[in-house]
Amino acid sequence: MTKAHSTEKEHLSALFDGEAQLNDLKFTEHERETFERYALLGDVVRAKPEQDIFIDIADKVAAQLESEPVYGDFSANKTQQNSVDTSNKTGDSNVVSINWKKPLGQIAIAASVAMFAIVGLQTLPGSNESTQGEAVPMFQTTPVGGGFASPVSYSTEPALENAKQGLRELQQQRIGALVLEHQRQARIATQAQVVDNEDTQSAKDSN
Amino acid sequence: MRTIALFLSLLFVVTPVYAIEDESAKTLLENMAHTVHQSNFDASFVVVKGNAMEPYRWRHGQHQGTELEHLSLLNGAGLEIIRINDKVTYFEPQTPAYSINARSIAGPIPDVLFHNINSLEGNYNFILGGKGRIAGRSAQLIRIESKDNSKYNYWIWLDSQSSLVLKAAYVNQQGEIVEQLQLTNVTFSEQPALELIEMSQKEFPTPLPQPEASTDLGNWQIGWVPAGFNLVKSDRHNLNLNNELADYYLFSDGLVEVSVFIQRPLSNNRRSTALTSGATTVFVHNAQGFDVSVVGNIPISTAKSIAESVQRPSP
Repeated sequence: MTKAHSTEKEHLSALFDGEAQLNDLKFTEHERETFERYALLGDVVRAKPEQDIFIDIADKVAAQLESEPVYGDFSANKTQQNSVDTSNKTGDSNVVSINWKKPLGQIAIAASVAMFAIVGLQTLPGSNESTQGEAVPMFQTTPVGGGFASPVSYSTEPALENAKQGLRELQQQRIGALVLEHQRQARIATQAQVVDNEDTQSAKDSN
Repeated sequence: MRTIALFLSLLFVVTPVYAIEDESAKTLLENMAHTVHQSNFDASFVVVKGNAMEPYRWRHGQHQGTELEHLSLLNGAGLEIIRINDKVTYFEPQTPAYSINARSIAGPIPDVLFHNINSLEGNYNFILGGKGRIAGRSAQLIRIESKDNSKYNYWIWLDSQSSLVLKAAYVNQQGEIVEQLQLTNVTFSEQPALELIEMSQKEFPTPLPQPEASTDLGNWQIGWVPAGFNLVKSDRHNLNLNNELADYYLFSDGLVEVSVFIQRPLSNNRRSTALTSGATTVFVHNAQGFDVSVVGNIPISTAKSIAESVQRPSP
């Protein structure tokens, strides 16, 4: 910081504290920030309640975001990490593929199950045709939380413990696979249903 | 107030405000579908399931007669869904990308609401609810109420001005919200986003073959499904992810889909398990010598009844 610069700032400071006249000073564009800061400091020191304190961090955040990796970015900028890459062994094709951070199947399954909570069933009404649709009392729920929730076992047999653990993992895997399969099948099903509605819709759109 | 309003409307030309009051819930829903298909917008919404939350970005555009849509899940490994006219491509971390022919994305909002709500009339009533303020805009509630109490109701709040969906929720028969979706911001623009246009010029996978007309496997008897659910398909196939074999049945009532899987038992003498995530229920029932799993956006008691009604066919 140069001497001249700090002298100027003293002037600014003086102005804001009401100790100088505006016509004594010439402001340049690059002093805008300093200007704002003194104005804010002045307000804080004088504790003006009607003035909202506003600190501008937008520039910093924007700068940060610039360097963040981008996922599934459909811009043509191929230099960007993790953006759509149009790679193909034959070279010059134009097929979209998203550069996923490829998780193992295991992790994908765990993620699809992790959102689920296990519901205690002892409160469910017995099921037969007559109770169909009856109001169900409040359920006890236990979050799965990435691992299969289960009552703590006091088994002293490590082998038995391992077998149980293995079974739990199998169950969790299966449920994860079912959830994902259901999603996929439901999507494909829309295909069949939409075709039936195609005519009605196109008639509507042409209006 | 109402009398005055009516009186005034007799005296003067009826303004659009009164016209809206006369519109039926169904018309408003049709307007919503129209808006979504015709507008250029960039929206963000959040889906809340219990204490889990999923943020999405949803963009749509019309470019030289081509409809472009992109839905992106912003947390975790993510999910990208891209629609160009009637071709929808799903990018997911655990499976290769695949395309299907469909006029709307099968995302968190039931896709039937974007094309043909008439198909719901048999099973649901459309009821005009109250007005409120959602996402800083005036909103009109429409309740899609199930005609029987074995299913959830779907409530949807539409922007009074643009008819765009601002909020939606699965509501159980006790009137409690089990899963909800809320727009946090939306920007309409004259032109579609440049990224959408660039995206549309890429090549996507060839759509999967048209699913065959549903035929009943006949391997199992599914004794009970809620009224209004029809069999969409049934087959025997290996699951994508863990390659387990399953006899598979898919039912739909137009709004929600329910899958029934019948598989070899993992172990004997296990208790049935129910899991929920928002409106989605997974119910695993251990029958004699086979496991039945029911997955779908239905109440637990309904999933339980379906699962327990599955039997081997009587010879």
